[in-house]
Amino acid sequence: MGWLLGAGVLSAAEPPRILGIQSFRVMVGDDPAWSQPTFDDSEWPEHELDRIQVEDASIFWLRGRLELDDEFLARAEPMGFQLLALASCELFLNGELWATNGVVGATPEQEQPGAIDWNRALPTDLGSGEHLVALRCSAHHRGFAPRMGFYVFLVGDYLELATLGWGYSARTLISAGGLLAIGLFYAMSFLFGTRSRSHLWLGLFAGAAGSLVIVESLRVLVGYTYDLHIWRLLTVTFLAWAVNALLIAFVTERFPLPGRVGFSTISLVLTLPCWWIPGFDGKTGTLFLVGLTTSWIWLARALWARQMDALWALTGISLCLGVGFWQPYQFLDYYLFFGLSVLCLFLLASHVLAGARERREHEAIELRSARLEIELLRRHLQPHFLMNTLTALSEWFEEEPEVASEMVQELGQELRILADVSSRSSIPLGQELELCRSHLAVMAKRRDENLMLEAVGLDPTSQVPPAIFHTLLENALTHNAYGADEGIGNTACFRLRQEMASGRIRYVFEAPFRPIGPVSKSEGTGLRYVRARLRESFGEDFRLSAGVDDPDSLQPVWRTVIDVPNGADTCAS
Amino acid sequence: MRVLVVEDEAVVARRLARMIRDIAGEELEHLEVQGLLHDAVDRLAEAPVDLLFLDLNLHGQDGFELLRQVVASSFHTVVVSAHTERAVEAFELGVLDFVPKPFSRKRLRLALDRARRHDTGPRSLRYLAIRRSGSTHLIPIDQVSFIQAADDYAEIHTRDGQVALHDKTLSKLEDLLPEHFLRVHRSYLVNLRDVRRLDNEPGSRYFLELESGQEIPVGRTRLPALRRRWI
Repeated sequence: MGWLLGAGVLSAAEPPRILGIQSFRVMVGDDPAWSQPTFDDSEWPEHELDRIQVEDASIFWLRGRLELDDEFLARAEPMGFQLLALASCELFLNGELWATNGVVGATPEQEQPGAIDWNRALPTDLGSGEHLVALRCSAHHRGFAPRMGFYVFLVGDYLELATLGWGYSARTLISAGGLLAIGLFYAMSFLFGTRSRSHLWLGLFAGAAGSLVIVESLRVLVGYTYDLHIWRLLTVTFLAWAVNALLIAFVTERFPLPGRVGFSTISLVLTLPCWWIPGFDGKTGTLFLVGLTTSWIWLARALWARQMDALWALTGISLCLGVGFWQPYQFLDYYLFFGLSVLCLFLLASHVLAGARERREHEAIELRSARLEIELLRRHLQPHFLMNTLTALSEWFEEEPEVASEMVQELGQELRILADVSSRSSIPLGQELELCRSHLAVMAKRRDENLMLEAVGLDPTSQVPPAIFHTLLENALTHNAYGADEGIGNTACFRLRQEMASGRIRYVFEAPFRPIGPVSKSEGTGLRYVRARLRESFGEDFRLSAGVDDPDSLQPVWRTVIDVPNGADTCAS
Repeated sequence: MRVLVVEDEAVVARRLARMIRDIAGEELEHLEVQGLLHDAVDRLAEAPVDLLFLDLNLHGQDGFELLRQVVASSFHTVVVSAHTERAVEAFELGVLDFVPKPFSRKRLRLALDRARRHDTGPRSLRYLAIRRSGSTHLIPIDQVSFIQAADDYAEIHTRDGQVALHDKTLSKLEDLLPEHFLRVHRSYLVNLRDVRRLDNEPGSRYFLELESGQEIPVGRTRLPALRRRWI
């Protein structure tokens, strides 16, 4: 009945052109004499129209009195009446049959249901004074026991009566159109594009919300016979359930937190008892209360977990809940389309913002990976590595061609592995070890030093980001003088150890510490590369530390410790 | 000839030493190889050399700081480096030659020949490096008006009247300086762009008057070259 409010019928600002008959005398049975103004109905019980309860009746009569004065007659020209009821009726005006709605019958078979909203013109010569309105009714086809069988009986300006609710319908259609368009867009985008479930849930949510708004206003938009009313109410309740279930599905999918399955299941289970709440408005209202509240709790948790984009959705739901608490009885009839549109817009804002943020993050990751790949390859194309290697190679060719030939093989091997691994985000440890050894072989020939790598307890199938130990090795070779110290000789032995403990893997890389010049306090490009690669694979779930172990010992060691989670699937391939 | 090779890559250093010995032959008095920058600096402070072969990337350290110091020294420097993109910068600072890695015997011979015969390569010197109270200062050569010999050193006279002492001899500076610097006298190198006029006194003594009013004597044997280049 929301549109009655919306049309301002009950406002007292200007002299009314519509008035209602509030109370009727009611009698079960059927007698043509009951239509007559002269009939004495003072024995009949009198009820407010919307309180009339007639159960198991074949045919029953309602008699009410209409008071008209000349001023009202002048204002409300031409005159008509409107009866909103779950019944078929014949209307007698001052004893004369004036209009029929369906066919009134003593049995369900004899009755043909009338329109739920019934508008007719009244005679133009209706004078001032009291008029008797007698309604002969039957209501065999309701299909349920409604709280109200009759809603209103209005008399007044015919055009105004006939167009009551048009403004409401227009607003409803606009919001339903918007909701359905959003629904269609995201359903399409799921079907033909992203396959992202949050798209699907948002699409279905908007679709269900749009359908709910349309079905809710179907009565004003198209009208129907009163026997279909039960089906509309069932559809509204089902759609309300779907809207809330999809809302929960969307917010838990879009803003993932631990315990998602448990939370959604409990929320959905909580919606089930709503079906046993009496009255369709009660059912729908409770469904919204459960759906909005549980979604609100989830979004508040998401916000607490610093998923800032959840703020918009949370605001939308808070507004919806606020309106619901402010106008609990008119929410479903009058504010529903408004509430659902606002909610959907806020959900959309949240979704789009979160999507944009995810896309940016994804692009940043891709860009970082590409940069790391280039950085790794460039290190081996940069003149210092390449030209010194070639110079050493030409020297070996002139001095000992066999050594030169071996060096070419080793360089080829190193470049082959590098080309293979540089574009990947993780490689088996065995391959990393092979890369390190071929690099050491090249460097040993280039610098005429004895360089070795000792591997302790390594599982060659463990996944590691590419070239991280290779980079640590390069770093050590660049910043230490292994050939210069005559006391130790030009031998350097590097050590890589792998230790497993409580779901984590720890890698310890040790290099003999014979620094050239002072050790820089800041992190060099090598260590930055290692850190960036680890972040690419493990997010923030890793530890990297480096430093001199016992600098006063005779053979100090530079130790790098890398601690990462254990598990093949944590390292994206 | 006394040669110092500063190179941290053992095999590359070996190649340089081997080839220098081959090419220089009997002329070579002494050859030494240093792998570390600070050792090389100490070595240069101890005893003079005639020619320095310098790698610009020693254990990841930028060798240009050392280069700025050595170009202010009395000896010539030949850079041997993989970083050819910095050759121009090195020439601007006053190196005699830039040998890119990987190098052949032929290329190294060219560098040695330049050192021995004062047969210079591209003259793109833009600064003269001066050692003054422990640090190195760069004087843009556009600011240099003339250079006067002072025993084993050279006095750099700038346009604004300042005088600075350079460790290189006048001959070595002549190797490096661009074409518009001309040796007009046994003891003078002049920036021809700074010359106002050529004058002669009775008795056929010639001299140049510079923009600053300074007069520079012109050697009789050097007069034809001056006339060719300047007039």
